[in-house]
Amino acid sequence: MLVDTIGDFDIIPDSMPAEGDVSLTVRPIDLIAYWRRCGIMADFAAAFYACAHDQPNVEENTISTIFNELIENATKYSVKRNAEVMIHMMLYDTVLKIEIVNHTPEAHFHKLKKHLTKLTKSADLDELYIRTMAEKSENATDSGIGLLLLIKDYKLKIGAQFKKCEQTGDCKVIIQTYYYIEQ
Amino acid sequence: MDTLNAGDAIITYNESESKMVFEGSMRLANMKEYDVVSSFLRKSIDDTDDPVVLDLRLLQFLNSSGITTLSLFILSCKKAGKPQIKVLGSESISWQQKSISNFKKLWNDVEIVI
Repeated sequence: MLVDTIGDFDIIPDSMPAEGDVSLTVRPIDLIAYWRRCGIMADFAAAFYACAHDQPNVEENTISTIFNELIENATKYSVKRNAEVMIHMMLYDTVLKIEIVNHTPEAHFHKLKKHLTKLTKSADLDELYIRTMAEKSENATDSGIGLLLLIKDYKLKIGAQFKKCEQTGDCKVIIQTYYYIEQ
Repeated sequence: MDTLNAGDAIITYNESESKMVFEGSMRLANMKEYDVVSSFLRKSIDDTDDPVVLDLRLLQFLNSSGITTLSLFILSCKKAGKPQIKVLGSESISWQQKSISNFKKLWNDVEIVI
């Protein structure tokens, strides 16, 4: 198994008990067939955490936006439409950790690894956004700014682990985001 | 008035005010699905030299493909040198509070009111 770890991965390990702990498993085919379900899941996740009375500043619109970008990406780039996407949300006091696990085609596996490396090492994300949009104005087949906006505008910490099984060729991606709830 | 249904959103263009009002939640699947939005925006403002208002205050959600679509629309106006763009946003909707200022980074002539 070849393993590459990028960015802020496991800054809060799963072994630490969370105050809120929700796991969901979904098949991409169910989301591709009815795309609105991505938004419905995102709104559910946001409402679930926003109703906590001891966390009055949990911003529902923010959590929904973060979740939606992550689930849309995982859905679009899963290796098989009937493969599983696993989502794990954990609340630690004022930090919401969202972990998404999926299996991607090998070409996307390498592309995403390169993209996330660029994002996590970039010194000027505004400049990267402007440059990306200039490139898209020539040929926009995909958006390509979802993760960039989450890091740049939402101050999310993000990390990822890329696992490739040499025997089977299976490419597994684990993405973790950490949203710090404003106090 | 021209209107376009885009997923769970409605876009209305009021020609007399040169104002484009977005309402609802716009989370289409990809750039190809946003082609219809791009065409509507371009077609609506094609003949106008007047400043155009993009009123986003009732748009609860816009995904990254949607932000890319609006960004590319602004870049195309910048390239053409017209029309001037004014964007109205809401402080109480967090995606707008956090991301709407990006449009001005693409074209300094864009006016943001939030």
